[in-house]
Amino acid sequence: MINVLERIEFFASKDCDRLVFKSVSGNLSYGQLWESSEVLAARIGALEAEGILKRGEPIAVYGHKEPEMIVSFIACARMGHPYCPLDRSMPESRIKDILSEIGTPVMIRCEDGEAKLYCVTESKSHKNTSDMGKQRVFDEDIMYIIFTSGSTGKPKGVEITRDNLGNFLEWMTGVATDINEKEGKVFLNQAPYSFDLSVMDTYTALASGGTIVSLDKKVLVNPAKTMEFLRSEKPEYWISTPSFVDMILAEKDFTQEKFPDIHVFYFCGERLTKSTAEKLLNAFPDAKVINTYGPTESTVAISQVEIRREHIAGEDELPVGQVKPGTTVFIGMENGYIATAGEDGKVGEILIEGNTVAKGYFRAPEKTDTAFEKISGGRRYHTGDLGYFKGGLLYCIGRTDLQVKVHGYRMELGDIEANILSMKEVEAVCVVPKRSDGKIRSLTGFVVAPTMEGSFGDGKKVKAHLKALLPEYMVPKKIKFIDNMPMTSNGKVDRKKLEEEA
Amino acid sequence: MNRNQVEEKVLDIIQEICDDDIIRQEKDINLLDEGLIDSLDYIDMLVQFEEAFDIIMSPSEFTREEMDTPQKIINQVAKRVG
Repeated sequence: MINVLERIEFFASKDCDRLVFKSVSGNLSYGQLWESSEVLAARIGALEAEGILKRGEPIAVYGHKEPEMIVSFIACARMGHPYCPLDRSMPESRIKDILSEIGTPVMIRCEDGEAKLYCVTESKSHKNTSDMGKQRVFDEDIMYIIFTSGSTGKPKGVEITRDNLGNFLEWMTGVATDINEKEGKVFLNQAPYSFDLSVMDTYTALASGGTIVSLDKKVLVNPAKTMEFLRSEKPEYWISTPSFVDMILAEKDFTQEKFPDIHVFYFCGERLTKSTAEKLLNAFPDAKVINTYGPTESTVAISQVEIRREHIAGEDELPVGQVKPGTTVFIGMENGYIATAGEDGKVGEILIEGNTVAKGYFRAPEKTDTAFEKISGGRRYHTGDLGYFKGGLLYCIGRTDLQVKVHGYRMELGDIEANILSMKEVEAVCVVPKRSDGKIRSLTGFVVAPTMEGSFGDGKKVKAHLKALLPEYMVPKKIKFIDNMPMTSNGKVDRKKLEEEA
Repeated sequence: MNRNQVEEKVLDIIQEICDDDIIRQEKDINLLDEGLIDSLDYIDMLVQFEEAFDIIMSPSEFTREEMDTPQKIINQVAKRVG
């Protein structure tokens, strides 16, 4: 198992001026990271001494791609406080939901080149009465809590322990190349820190003594600036969603000749299509293209495979790969049979056991019990992903429920629907994915609202309502007004029919 | 291909991607601000222009402001079709 704090301390003493992080907001060396996180940790310790913060209580870290984000994460970890990353792009109301959910008295805001500690006193009043008087126990073993969309409209926090992260890194640092080969290399960070794909780039780099070059939203909105950033920062290990590389592949200059430094591409977060993989292999014939798979509930990823031309030529979708050591995957079939990795072609729900399965959902014992089955010696996480094994490789082909991924972001359709329904004009709603090439491209919301005309302006109104409540990536691209919901023979909304009309 | 044919074809492609005929009624509507296209749609749109008109259009050749309305897009494509 890798202890990431020990690794950072090691690189800070070995080569303190080595760059650990760079973005448009500033640079940070390993030495600075170790020292600044120590200073911040001492300030957190002072809050504990004053009784404002209890041992092991979570701390919210708010910002975007500032070097202070990394400093804050590490400072929390050094003090045994779980951190909860919140990205600046999240709407105020979602942030309030999460803050009241974790009930933290302390928040770190990364802005103006500083990590500022704030006391969130109002969160006390948000706490629901059932918690009052109950002695709350905090867990110093939790490294971070990342919130994901929940089906009823409120986000839920996944608790990843230090051991989970250490076990993930033990494996991840050796994927595609040896850990020693990664030392001093440049890793691309595309995902915001509230999305656990960022754990793959940032912690793999920290554990291997690499440098993280981080793309800021301000740069990403401008394709010319994004290309300029990639040209000047010369990432060697590329970590992104497939959707992001699709955008960059539209640039004629994105080739091995122009970007000779890139030698490994890692993908996670959504389906990697054959067309994306093929374009990449054509543009970068000498680079390795690694597909990975895993839910946030099992620490980012649990399987990997190098995609080769024979995978693209095969009849299956691209595999998500070989399951990592320390993890076992089973396939839970509809008839109750549980298939193992050796049983080819048996399709069912992907079930994960092993040393990276999360502790559960933060302060949500019922949700935890539903998704994390207790088994002897641990927990078995029910992913809701549909998959099968073939020739020792795992394949993932869809979902058993209404969770979707759009451009790598995971969300529950029920979450979006509940938030549209909170609009007083709306009587019924159904949100469905719109697909192209087998992959979800965008979302369409079908809305029954008799008092609305259904004009372009009305669609905008629904979207504006949602934008105030949900992250922008969860707002359906298209709102379609209909007179009534189509129903199936057993009285449920006919999602299939609506999907065809999306 | 004359200017009108180019315009018609460009509008066809934009309308197909937005799934909304508002882009014909309001050629100065801001496609990004109004949520009519997202960044992947934008890439798709450029690829379709390249194929339809046999021209080259890389995303980094343009700023957002140069390509945010149907009218501006028509002008940019027409310039390249010559």
